Amino acid sequence: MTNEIYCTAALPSLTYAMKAQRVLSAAGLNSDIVKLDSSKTKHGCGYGVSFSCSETDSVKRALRSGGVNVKQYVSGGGELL
Amino acid sequence: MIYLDNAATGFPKPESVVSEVNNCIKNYCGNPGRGSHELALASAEKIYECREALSDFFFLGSPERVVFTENATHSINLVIKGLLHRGDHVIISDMEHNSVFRPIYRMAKENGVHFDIFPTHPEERIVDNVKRLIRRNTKLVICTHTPNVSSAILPIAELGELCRNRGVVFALDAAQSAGHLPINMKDMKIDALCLPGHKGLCGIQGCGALCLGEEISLSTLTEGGNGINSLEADMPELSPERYETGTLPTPSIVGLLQGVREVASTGVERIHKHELALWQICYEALMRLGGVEVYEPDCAGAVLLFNFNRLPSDRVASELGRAGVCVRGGYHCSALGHKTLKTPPGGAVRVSFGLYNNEQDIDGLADALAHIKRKTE
Repeated sequence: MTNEIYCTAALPSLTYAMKAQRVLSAAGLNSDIVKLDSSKTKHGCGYGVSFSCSETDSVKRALRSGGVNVKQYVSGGGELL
Repeated sequence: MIYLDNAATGFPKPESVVSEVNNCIKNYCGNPGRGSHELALASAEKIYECREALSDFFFLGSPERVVFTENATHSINLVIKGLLHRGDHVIISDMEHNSVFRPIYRMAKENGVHFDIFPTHPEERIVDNVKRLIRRNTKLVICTHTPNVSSAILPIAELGELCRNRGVVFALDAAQSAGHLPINMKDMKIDALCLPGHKGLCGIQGCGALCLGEEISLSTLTEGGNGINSLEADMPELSPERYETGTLPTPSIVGLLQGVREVASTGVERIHKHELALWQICYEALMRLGGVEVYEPDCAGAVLLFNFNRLPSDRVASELGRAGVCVRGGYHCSALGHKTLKTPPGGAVRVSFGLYNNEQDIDGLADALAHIKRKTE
């Protein structure tokens, strides 16, 4: 059994999180919509998609080509990717 | 009961709409965008599906540029007040509903905006008439696709082309055309499309939408919470959250989603053809009765406006109502339209068709009118 580590792409809104999830799904990548930890966000409430950190490069590529504007990528440990 | 008031609101609603609205209220109506629990996300998912459905249906190509509003009037106000500033010039048609005319009038009276009204008759001169009215400070052309008091169709693709070439924003009031006539925002070069959810698109009352082209950014009409960037005093920059404040009406949006799916599966061209046929049957029935004046008799479609036996329109509508036939008399919130059509004081009777009307409904209308005729002659 492996302990998968999850990373997060922080997005401008829940609408963009929905869009990101569809773009990733179309690229064959699994993701979940998550509410960002409000204690760690600069502007307050926000949403993003979480995905397996092992797929970070594929996720970045898919979101970029899908025209999804990601505010920042955060690793499972909380540091910026 | 015979329902012929579809220009006011579509009735009845498709069974799938009723069923999904009920399902939403009973099973998943959380507050979208206000948390990450199952119900909040289930609502948000349906709302995004509706953005996708509208974006596809109107060829917008961008679900996040579908903004939910209260209704078409709210969408129109958002465009007009979010775009125009003191000294700007705007052009509207002589068939506008008060949803367009009143906000423009107020902007002119209180905010130093200038406006002109282009004549829609004769039809072949519409584009030239608009061309002549465009000035250096013209920022917006906003007009109806098809009015609520006539079935005339304005040359939207040509007007869109003209506006795009002249750098003027082109906004369309699709209150009477969405779900009745084909609309392609890309081909028609529409920058802002204002829609009701509860008319031709078969949703329930409570929501409308504004589909915004990529180049369009508006000032906000309302400010408040929307679940995003709560620590910031300013509204977010990006659509749709920039324009959506407070809790969205999820049951209504879910109804619209199901309604758009129904319309798309039936086919809007088929619906239009059905309404053209009903209009023709109705026109012929009215002519057989005699004593009828039809306004714009050359324009068939979802709306037929007439006066009967020189009776006040509200009296005819009221008598028809007592006979179980739902129509609308008066001025239909369109002072400009009635003035253009030269209806008499008191306005006219409007019959408006929808997806679920049939020939028997027209027979019922004709029988009821014949009865009124016997009573009043």
